[in-house]
Amino acid sequence: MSLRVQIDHDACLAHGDCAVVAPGVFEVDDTARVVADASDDILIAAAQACPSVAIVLTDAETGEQVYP
Amino acid sequence: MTCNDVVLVGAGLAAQRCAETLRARGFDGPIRMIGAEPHPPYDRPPLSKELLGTAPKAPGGAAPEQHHGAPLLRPLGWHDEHGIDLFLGDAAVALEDRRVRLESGARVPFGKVLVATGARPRTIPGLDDALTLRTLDDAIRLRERLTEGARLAIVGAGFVGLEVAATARERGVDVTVFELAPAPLARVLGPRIGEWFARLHRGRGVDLRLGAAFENGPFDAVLVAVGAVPDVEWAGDTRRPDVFVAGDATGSQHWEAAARQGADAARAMLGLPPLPPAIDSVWSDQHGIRIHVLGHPTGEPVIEEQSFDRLVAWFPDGAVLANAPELLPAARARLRQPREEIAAA
Repeated sequence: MSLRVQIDHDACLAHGDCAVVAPGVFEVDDTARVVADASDDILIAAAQACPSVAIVLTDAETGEQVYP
Repeated sequence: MTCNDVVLVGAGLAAQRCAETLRARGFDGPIRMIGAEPHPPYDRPPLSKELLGTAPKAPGGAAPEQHHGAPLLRPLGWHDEHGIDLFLGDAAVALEDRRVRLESGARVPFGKVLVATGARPRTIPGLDDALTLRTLDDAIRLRERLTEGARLAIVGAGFVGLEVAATARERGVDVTVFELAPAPLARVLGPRIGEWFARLHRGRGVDLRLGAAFENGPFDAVLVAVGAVPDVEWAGDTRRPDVFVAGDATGSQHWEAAARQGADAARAMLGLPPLPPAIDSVWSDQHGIRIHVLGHPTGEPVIEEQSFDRLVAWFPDGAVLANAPELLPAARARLRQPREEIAAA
């Protein structure tokens, strides 16, 4: 499976946990941004770490939401 | 001559967000940040969670920017790059007319000042030597005591006490929790939700003693976790037009409130309106389960789903979700509704 990552900017509060779990993939200032590709494992770990549940993962082929 | 300098007293989240917002909104005058602790601004939530534990970092995760294990709010060097002077290891002792006096005797002039000195842990008479958990140094001291087989007593089953209990169990520590109330977190979430937390902790081997004051026993360490009081006495009367207050110093004790209040203080200093209101939101990690508390969990809850490691509870104006991240967007929408209706009316 290949995951597509999106940030829900209404939910994001710039906790920064994504950038701790996946530095170089996420950058955070007043909101989080995706700045590089990453493996599915890393994206899932980052999404699960987000206290605001602002990282939305979808299956790139089917479009089905995988997380949350 | 008027002084344009902004002085941020406190080097936690609220002060950091205030500094960021000031710079992001174009303020180019001097900003000074004063911290009682010797550490650059760091994030506190990990102090009762990852920092105490031994959990491996996420797959592929390179070492984050850390300082004694606590993730920094901004990388080292960020403050220099943004023209923010850090005065660390020197506590503010008095708010004078247009100057902050520090423990060292230094006086820092200000045009506007933010009081963001956080809170200090409550103590219990007779347990003055017990550990508390508030700062990075507190967490490092506590971590040293969490060796396998050690016996830890925790006084207080609030969020901090329960998070430490969970992390300590993961490290093979023998944990006893004393709580005066009949259920953990009962004061904030009510007795029915509290019972779910009691089952979770007991199921993971915590000796949870409810309706019980601390009793001496063969403990290697005692942690007092019975809340915190705002650390603002040093500032005297803060109801002045040049004085702003944010974060735990206001009496709120939530990460998201501190972040927002810090940003709002900066906006107020610049004459900008506050950020739009948001749903109160708190999270906690206990025994590998993430718990979200949204809105105001008061009144009688409807418990829609409940098992050992999952809870879905709706309050009239709030929600408690454990291990249910997929319901968070719906919960937010539901809680946002009445506010928008009120705003539209």
